[in-house]
Amino acid sequence: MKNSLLASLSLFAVSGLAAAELPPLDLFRDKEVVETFASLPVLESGRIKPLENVASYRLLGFRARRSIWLTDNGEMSDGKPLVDPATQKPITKDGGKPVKLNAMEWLLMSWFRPDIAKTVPLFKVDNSSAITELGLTAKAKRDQYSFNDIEPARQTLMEKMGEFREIPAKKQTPEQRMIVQLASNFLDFEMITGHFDFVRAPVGDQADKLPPEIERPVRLSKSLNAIAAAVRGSGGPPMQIPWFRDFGKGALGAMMSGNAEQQLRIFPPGPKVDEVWHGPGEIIFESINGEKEVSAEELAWLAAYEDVYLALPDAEKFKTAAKSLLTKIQNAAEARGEGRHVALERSAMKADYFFYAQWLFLVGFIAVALTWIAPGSKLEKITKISAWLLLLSATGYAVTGVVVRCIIMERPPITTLYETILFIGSSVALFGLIAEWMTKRGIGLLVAAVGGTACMFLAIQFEASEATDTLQQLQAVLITNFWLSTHVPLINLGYAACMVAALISMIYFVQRLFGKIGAKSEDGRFLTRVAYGFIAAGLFLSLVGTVLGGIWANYSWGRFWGWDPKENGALMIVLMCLVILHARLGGYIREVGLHCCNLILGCIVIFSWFGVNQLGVGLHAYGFTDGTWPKIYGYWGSQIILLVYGVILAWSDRQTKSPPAEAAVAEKVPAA
Amino acid sequence: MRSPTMKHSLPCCALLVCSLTLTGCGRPGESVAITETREISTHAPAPNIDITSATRFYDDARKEAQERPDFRNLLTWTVPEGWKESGQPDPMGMRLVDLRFGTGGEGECYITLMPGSGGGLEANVNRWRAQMGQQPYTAEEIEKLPTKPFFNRDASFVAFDGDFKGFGAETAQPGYRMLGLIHSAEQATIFVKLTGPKALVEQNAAAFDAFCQSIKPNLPNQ
Amino acid sequence: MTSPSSNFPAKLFAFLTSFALATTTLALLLLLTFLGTLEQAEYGLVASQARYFESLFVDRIDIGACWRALALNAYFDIGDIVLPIYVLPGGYTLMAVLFVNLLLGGIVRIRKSPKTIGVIISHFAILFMIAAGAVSYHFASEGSLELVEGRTGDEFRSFHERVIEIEKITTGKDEPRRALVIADGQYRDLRAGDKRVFTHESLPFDLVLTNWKQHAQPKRAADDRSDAVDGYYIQEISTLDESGAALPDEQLASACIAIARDKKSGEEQKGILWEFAAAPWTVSVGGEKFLITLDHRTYKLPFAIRLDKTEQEKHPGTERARRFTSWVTKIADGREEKRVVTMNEPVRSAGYAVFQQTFDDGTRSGSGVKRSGFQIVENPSDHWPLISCIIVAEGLLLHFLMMLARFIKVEPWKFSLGLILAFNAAFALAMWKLL
Repeated sequence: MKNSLLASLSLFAVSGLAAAELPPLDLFRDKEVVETFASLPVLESGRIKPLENVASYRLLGFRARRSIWLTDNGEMSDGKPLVDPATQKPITKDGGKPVKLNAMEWLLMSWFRPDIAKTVPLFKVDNSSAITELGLTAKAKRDQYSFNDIEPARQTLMEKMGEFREIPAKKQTPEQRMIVQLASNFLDFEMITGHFDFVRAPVGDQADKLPPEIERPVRLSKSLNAIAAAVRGSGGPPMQIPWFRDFGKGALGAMMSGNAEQQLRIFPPGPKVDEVWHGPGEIIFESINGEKEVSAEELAWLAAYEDVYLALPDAEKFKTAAKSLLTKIQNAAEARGEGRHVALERSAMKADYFFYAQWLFLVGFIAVALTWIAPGSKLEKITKISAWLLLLSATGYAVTGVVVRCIIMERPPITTLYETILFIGSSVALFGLIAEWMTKRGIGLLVAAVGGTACMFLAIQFEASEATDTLQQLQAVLITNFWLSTHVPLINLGYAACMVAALISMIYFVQRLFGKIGAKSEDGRFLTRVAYGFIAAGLFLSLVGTVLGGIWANYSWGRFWGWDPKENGALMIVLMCLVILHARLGGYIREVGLHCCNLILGCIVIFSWFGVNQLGVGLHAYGFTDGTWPKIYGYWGSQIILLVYGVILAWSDRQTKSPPAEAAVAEKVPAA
Repeated sequence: MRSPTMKHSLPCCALLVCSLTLTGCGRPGESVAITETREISTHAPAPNIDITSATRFYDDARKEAQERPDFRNLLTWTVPEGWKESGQPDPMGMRLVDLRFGTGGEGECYITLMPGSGGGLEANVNRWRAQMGQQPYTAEEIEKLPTKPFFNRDASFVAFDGDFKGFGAETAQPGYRMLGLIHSAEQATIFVKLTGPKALVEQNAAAFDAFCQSIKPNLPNQ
Repeated sequence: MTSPSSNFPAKLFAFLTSFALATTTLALLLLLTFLGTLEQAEYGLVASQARYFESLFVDRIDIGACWRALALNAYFDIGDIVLPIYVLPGGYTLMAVLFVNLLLGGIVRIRKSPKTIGVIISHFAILFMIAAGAVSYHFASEGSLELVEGRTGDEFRSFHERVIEIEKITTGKDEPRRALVIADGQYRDLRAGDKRVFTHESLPFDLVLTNWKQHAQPKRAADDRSDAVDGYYIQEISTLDESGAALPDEQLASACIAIARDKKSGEEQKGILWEFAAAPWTVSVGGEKFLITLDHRTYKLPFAIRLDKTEQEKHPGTERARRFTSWVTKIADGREEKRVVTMNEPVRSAGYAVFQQTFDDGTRSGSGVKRSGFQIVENPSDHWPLISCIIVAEGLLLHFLMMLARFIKVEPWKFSLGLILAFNAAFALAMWKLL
């Protein structure tokens, strides 16, 4: 309640006093300030990371972007700049232009200027009927709503969340899912805006009801133990204490998340004490739940944290306090031998390898396309060289990104589905470039450009839809560097090789369609040979990778092969490669037949890569509209079209030539 | 020369023919001799003999649960703030109310009611002392037990520290404290017992008192 | 490939060695794997494994289930379509055919030249791998052993195989306890009305089994139920959870009705056997008592394990486990030996391997009792896949690198052997540094 009190106070206050007390927003866009806070090491989800990472995924989770415009629609175009509730002036820079905040700036604004943060259209709602169901006026079908937009329906929102959460996820309707998600985002954001309430007003406006011996103004770093004693000594249930409600709310805000793993933990304990870092919220809760008093060390941390807030609105004092907090935390972390990779992680976030790789791949693709305009001309030479350079640097970027992630986490490259996309994307590009280096006929460049662009695009989409830190700690069973660095990369290289083969076959059919290569042409034979090579490589990598996986399972869990969907997916790839190679050797398929089979191989790879994870889930409509299956169907559908064309080609080739002809074996293999 | 497609279909057909000749295994009705035996380990649990179907199929526990509400209607009480009812049925099905407190529900407090003297004060106090790993009290020591007002009369109050080994527990839990109140009347004996880690129990001592005070006979509206 | 030949053996040999047979078998295996994977969604892994991957023939294909597994029903619901015929050879048959085809075609008949060495090596390795699969299918046993801290055990329970056991209560203290065992394959076809009689010369009664259900719960019967046994009847339960996905096999509780028929008097006693029952069914015949249970199969270990201590590490600030470790004492012939079992690091002894599988630090059950679950495996072909994998890797690498060498026109032997050497060195380095 105090939050809304504060918000309404600042919303309607026009007195100069209120405005003077609030720090200007520009302070939190100051390079130095942002840099200091962004570098703060925190413990979240079991690992030490920069605060910037936390800010970034929080914002991504709310609005599927990592930045936000301070306009009434959250975008730059058509958006009117928001008005600062304290000064009643529009928030602009450089003469009227709207302001854009990155994730860290947004988090600082939410912490220190919640009045503005609550007016920003933050929550992305894909389903306007969810808003209508809350009794609010919906904007467009997909739109963004600010905290203050939703606030009037808080009661309804909480009731509905309580009701819908009882429904199993699989059976929720899209509106119900949207409401549950909106409610949890709303509460999370409320905790973020209330993060410094424990300094601002630790017991709300009930300070006069505190026991008289507690020092005023109330500072938890000084009086936490006394307050906790007062709670315990009250005899009755704590909720009957008049000031407890606001005190508890402040503690929740200090925690900054209802998820225990994601609460803000930024105070490293002394070396060799405990593995778990402390956080402001955790310290406050411990004081009232725990059996012993909060230690002086923890109170000192709390004091340092309070100092940062109390330094406001003086910009210089604020900067000094923030920097001194940063230094303290960094030193304490260093003394524990932790947080060594925080700086590297920050630079990786800044470098945004995969984003730039995506664009370089895309431009590389355009360069490759330009080489087709005038074969043999000077233009071809120039564009080819630039394609080489672009794709090389794109691949370099992607590979560097993958390597940096390994260094940050001190483990092999692939542990999650997201990481397979990065790894396979980089591998496809590398395979393409190697093939180009060996053959020098442009096909490798095309493969690298198409594969690289697709995978980087996919990775970025995937990350936005998951909106959780992509650097995750491993489950106990997976912690073994040897197998993670042999079996998993081999399997994924196998996927990559097979996808390259499938890509080449797609290119083959498209070129045949446009008459660039004819039946029995030298170009066609060349493509077939390259594709065949990649199938061979795919077979080797998948087979060895799959068997190694079995051996890992056998030596770790006593089970070589369990017929579980993921294993079966890998086996299907191996079998398809074997079918293609033996059918080819037996003469049952020739050029067109081989390419048809390759398309099926690609479909199988996609199934093993993404489909098998969905099998249980896919039984029902859950996640259907926003899920993986439609994308898989899309891929399969496109391949079936090419396949039909391939079968027609095989048939027409047989008509025009004498046997032996290519038999299309497509129908006997499960295509889709 | 045959076409490749035809060649291809040949193995398919062969496998198909093979499949159709395959038939099912033994039919029901016949008599089968048991051939397999195994030795049962000395580490295996001792056999449970002559167990009724109700117990075998977990049906008797449910019967008691059905009966319990009647029993519960005899008393009323107020559950202290932060305490809550245990989700699981208690092992003996004798508790009128079975409460838990503490963050992980380590603290336990329950009321039981036994007809008559319930075995007598001495036996019950010493049973509790045994659960806490303590030597039994002598009759004099029992006499000297402090009392607390309860149910408009006095009830014997006990508080022991020790390693608690509750009913059916495998191992004792160290550093525990037990609070207990025993009230004997002609028709029935009421027990209120609280156990938990020492610090937690101390924190909840006041709540225990409040809880005991809140226990009242459930008088029907006249 | 198939040169026209007049005599039958030559024709047969040609057929068994043909690429056609190889391609067909592999393609059918692929189809089998695909369908078997999809059916797991509604039938569970164990049932699908038995039906597709371990069978001689697939007795029926549930197209509807596969359709739903692919979530295609969101576009168009085809309903329940089941192909109830033996059309698809099972995994066992296909593996056997593949073995013969590989042996005759891929090793005996194949043209032997430096160009095919790699292929022959790989074929040999795959043969070895199929053999390893067969050995492990027929001779391996696996199961779990769960221990509370301080307890000792020397038996493990099969994960999926159930048996009915009959134990005679012995009076002598030192007399070893023995049980007669009926494998589940001998009774799981007994639907309502079907009966089978099981006899043993040491028993004073015959055991008649009937009315087997895969997943069931005994329910108290109303007085007029004809199928009631001692006041209870067997209520069959769906094997699907509320969202329509198959329950895992461990959660299924099979049940059946057993009738003990006195060999002398012909008098009958009826009881319900249920996997999750709290206690066995007791049969008294002629002053002797017998316990009859329906439970997972139990295997004996040649040594006993005592769980001394357990420990769990978590990722800081989370509930996610980083490592479970159990300190155990292996007891064999009165000799004690301290061993440590942890994730990815099993203890191997006497042909058995003991793996850390599950862990409970007592917080979940609220009991505070720590327990550790071990997976125990006995597999004669334990290390065969590793050997086979090394051979197949070298073989394929040699073959494909030589192909590549010819494609890019370099000296094949130098190129491929050099790269194989590099590959092996990298792998050895990884093993040395990381394992």
